Amino acid sequence: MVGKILETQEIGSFRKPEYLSRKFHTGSESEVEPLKERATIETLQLFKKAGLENIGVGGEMFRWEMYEHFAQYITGLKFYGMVRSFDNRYYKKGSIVSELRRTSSLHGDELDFLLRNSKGEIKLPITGPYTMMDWSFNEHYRDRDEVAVAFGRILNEEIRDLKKRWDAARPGEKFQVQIDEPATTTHPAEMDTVVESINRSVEGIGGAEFSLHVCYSKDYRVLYDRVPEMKLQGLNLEYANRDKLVTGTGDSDRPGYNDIRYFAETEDRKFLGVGVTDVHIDEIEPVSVIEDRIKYVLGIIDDPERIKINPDCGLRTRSREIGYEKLRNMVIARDNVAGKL
Amino acid sequence: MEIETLIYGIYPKSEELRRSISKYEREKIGTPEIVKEFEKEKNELIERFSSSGISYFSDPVLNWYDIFRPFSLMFTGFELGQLTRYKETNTFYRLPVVHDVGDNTIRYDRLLEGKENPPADLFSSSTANGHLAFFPGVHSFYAMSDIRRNISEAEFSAFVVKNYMQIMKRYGMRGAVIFDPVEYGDASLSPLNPLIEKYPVYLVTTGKLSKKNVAGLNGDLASIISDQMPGNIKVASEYSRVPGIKAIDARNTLMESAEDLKHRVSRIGEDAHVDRIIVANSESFDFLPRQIADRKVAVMAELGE
Repeated sequence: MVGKILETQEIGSFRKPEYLSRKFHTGSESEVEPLKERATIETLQLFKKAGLENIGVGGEMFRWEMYEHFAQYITGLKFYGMVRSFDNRYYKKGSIVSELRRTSSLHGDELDFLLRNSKGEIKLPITGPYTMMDWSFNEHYRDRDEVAVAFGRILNEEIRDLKKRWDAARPGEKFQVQIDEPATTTHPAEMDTVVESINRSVEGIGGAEFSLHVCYSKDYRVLYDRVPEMKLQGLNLEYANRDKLVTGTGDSDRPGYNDIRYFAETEDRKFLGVGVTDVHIDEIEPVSVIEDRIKYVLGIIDDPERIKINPDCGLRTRSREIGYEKLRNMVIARDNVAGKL
Repeated sequence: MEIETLIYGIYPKSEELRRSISKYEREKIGTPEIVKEFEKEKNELIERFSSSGISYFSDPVLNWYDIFRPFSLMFTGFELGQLTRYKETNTFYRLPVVHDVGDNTIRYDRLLEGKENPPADLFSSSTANGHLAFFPGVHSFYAMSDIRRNISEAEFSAFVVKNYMQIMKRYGMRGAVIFDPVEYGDASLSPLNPLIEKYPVYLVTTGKLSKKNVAGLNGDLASIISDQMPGNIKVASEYSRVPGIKAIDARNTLMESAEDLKHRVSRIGEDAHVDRIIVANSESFDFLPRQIADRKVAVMAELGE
């Protein structure tokens, strides 16, 4: 149970200010670190101004990209070059050439900074083990399952490390981690591996709230079926991208959210963070459309404490101005709906 | 056992070409410059494949953003749809949206417009031995498209093959690789007959192959190259002049050893009672960093020696 109704949250990334993105890879450490800190503070302020309740880590200003960042802090990965994703867009895809080991904390510096500079609720996004496996070449381990579990072991070490820092600074307060797994449903036949590696990541860590973020899945039912087996408290999913930009609360008005009824049929009572604004379009959805999206979801899950409200995914692909407007409309819509409950 | 080699699909671009495309996208260089760079790199690759002894190779199609993109742009009645995941990978293609298959006019000029795909010709005009055209298989093209009207697979296939024939003629190609990334199931390959009757066709299949797929062919294919699954090589050897196997993994950076491969491929050939066999990559090499693709090609060249 969440305890709050329709809590608003962000999902992770936000567009970096020009002064940071320009220097991120070219500047020296002493030059870039203060820029990361400045950008984090500015983004946290922007999230607060938009009215978000959970302000996360301030848009992931300490990280360039979810795979690359993780890879920087482990040994056993080798980079031969860039691999194309689509058109002229490329990403760094590492090859696992020996046993994977964590060399130092992936997010310790970011969390330490946030603990010193932020008082709000924080949800830490961390790239999940299945996605790290799926986005790597494997030259070392026996099979994909073994790779995913190896990444899960690293994640478990990392989360324990972060929790120690959290407990020292904020004893008794809720420690929240969001495991980002965009690759989760890419291979439906590997859902056993998904469940096993996620559970390995959180194994033995008490006093924390774990959520799973998945986006752009062809079919969430593959995931919903396995949700009860995952040692998590909730899911944060993308839906707006597959929805219509019209008002209305009928099934045909809200095609993007229809399959939430399958989630509602699962046995356990995990919360659902619902994506209500599309991060892939510049169009700022009107408050009325977002309101109807929320109302439609409440028609399926009649428990506003089990629902959180968020963008589909990180907003780093939009400008900071558009990102802010999208968050602001999301908060207004949420307040309008919550006010009438 | 005679081992031949075949490379097909989109080849990864060099770092320099990748940077040039970025410059083109930012309008720092113009169409003539980028077309020239594509041609230069394509010709270098063709020369390298040819001189290193690769038996057959499709055009490196460096300028294709995905295997359907040029055809969605050029074919009348087709357009580009949304970005869609390519099978179970982290790579995406633009979904072909098919409205009509009635007009076989091909709009070649759209390849040089530079919209939605960098400008360059479909294939190089190279006359090097082994140089082949490259096309997506009609079965996969249909399965991986958004077919808007009530167009049957048979109508679609006949239309697309007719266009492929026109393209072969226009570019003076002497043979073609046809790649089907989708398994056939019960589908028949007979729509390919007009092409097979006129040109040597090297067909690269995916998954299980059955006699049902190939029984309607009027004549032999130059080769059927299949995944290493029970029964595939038997069908391939009965219905093509030289059977082939996908033995070079284009989805992993782990390097194959030429010696091990020679032994393994020879054993497969002996078991299938054939004296010639073709070894090919499992997918477009574009799934790998360029450096690794080049090394895998070198292994293939050793195999053919």
